[in-house]
Amino acid sequence: MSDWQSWAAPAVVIVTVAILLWRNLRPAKEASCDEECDCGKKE
Amino acid sequence: MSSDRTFALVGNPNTGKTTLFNALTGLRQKVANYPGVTVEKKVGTGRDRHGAAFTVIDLPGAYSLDAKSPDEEVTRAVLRGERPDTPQPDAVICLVDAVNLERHFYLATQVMELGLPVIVVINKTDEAEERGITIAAKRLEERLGVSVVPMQANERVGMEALQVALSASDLAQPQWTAVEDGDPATRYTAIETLLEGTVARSEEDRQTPSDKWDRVLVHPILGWVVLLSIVGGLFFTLFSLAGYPMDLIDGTFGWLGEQVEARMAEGDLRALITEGIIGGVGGVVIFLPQILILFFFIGLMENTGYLARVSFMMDRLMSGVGLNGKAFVPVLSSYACAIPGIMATRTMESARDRLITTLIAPITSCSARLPVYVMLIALMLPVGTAGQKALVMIGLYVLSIIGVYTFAWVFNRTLEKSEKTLMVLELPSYQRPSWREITLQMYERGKIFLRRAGTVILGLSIVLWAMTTYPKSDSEDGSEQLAYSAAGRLGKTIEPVIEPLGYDWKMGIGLVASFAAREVFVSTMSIIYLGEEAEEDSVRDRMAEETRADGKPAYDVRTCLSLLVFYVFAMQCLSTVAVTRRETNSWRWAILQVVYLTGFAYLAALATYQIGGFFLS
Repeated sequence: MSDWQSWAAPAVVIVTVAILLWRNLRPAKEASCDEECDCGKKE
Repeated sequence: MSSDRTFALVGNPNTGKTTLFNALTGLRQKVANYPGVTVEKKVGTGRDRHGAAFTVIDLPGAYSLDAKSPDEEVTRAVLRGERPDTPQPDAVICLVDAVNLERHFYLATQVMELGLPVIVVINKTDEAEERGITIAAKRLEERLGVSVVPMQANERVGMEALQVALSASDLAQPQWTAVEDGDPATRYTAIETLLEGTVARSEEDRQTPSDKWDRVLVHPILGWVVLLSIVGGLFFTLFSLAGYPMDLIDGTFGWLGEQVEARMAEGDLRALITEGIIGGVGGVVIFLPQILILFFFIGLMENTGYLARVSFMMDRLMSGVGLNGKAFVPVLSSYACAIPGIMATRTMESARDRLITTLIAPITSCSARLPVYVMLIALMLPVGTAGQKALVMIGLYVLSIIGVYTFAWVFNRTLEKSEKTLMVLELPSYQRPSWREITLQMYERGKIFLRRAGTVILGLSIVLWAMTTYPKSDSEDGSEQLAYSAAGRLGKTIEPVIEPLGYDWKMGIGLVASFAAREVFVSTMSIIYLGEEAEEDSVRDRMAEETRADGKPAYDVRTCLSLLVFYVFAMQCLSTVAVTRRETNSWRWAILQVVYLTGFAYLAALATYQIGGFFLS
């Protein structure tokens, strides 16, 4: 059992949660389009 | 690149505006055959014959400038220079359909009254010719005093003449006397006078190949037989053909996991990578072949012009629940994803119809449900043939259609009434499918699916892995650790509520986790079952072996049916909630959507499981 892995894994989880929160709580870039499900933006 | 002049491209929906826009600017865009596809504002640049740059604004399709839908409002505002975000165009390219010249001139004459220079493009001259319609463009040009260019935009026929017209140093203002009277009949009389002697129709009734096809494909009985056969073929292919590439993807992710295990010492981070990341993401990515097959069929139907016929047939049903066929375009888009579907409601005139369509859109079986359906159907029918599995899949889609109609009817009866709007739906001629367009669409959809897997699903898989791993118990047994973890405790807490539906606490974890996105149910199952004993077994095998306390299989037919019914109706998509809030400008409707869909999903799954008890052991 690697010791460094026991703190590295929670660190990855914390960073992931932070990114998820940031992605969802930041102001929308474009009011008319969602980036997860394409809505016809081809430009 | 500096732009000398700005042209606005205006026309009724489905006139070939997007095709002309592409031809003028060289930008790639989706060409669809059903009405209302041009929703977003599109701007591009092109060069005229003298090499001077010009800008083209592709405005949303509109039938008139009497702004009824939000789309038409945008078109009118841009043309009048009333939108601060868009400069007023220097001239307008007005696209009309050669086959329906009188009706398309309704908008064209309104545009001519705005006082801007105009170039009239008469598109689809080949179709007009096929129908025995001849148009004297020169005579019309003389009468209007502006360039009138006959075109066949999809073949670039007439492009040279349009380039000449665009390159003119002085663009002419039309000689057209404004129709002051707001009565449409007065305008149509003026249009009749304008077109008199310019349009000649052949006396004989010419049947085009499209007319002959339509006799079968939109027939009240045969039409449905054909449609059901096509949908049946789609699902059969989904189960029979997708198996090979799925095994390949599964093998690749398995190999990847082995490589990590061989190179890293045992520990939490290794478990996070193999069980959380590779297991979670791989569990969803494996369904890429199915997504591609689904969009191949949708692309084929859209590209050949058949989808517009489906829209036409659906209009008969839509009117039965108080909605017009225009609601079908957003509903149909929702089969790919509810988000663009809800955004497509902007093409509808009535605010009430827009709201009803937005509320029912998430019931359509979007592509995110596909992985969940495929996994549960395979569990339910372990030795079933592709045909049997396809039948269950059709049943789920039919159930979602019944749900759409039922709730449309309920909302139509309960929400305050408003004026009825008429639907104008054009059936484009059938055409050979463009394989390039279909491949492009499959590529785009595949990219979106993988992007979701690499972002949202990846993130949620990591969080879920943490929830199934922490806090840690002293036990070495995987099941005990899962029960001790945060996710296990959550599952046990909600177990009494979901028990009557036939679900245990592990399924409960999947339900709660997939509240953010439906596909997460599949990755959660991978993390839960493969995490317990990371052996050679596939998730499906592990799930099939799972038993209840009484020794009976956990995923029996009753439970799988109950889960399938739950996923047909449940909201389970946070992105859709956000878009509903944005489009309705109110949290009230977004919350109502979540509550009524989740509540109904619960009741429907409960009824399925309990009634199923009478027939299935």
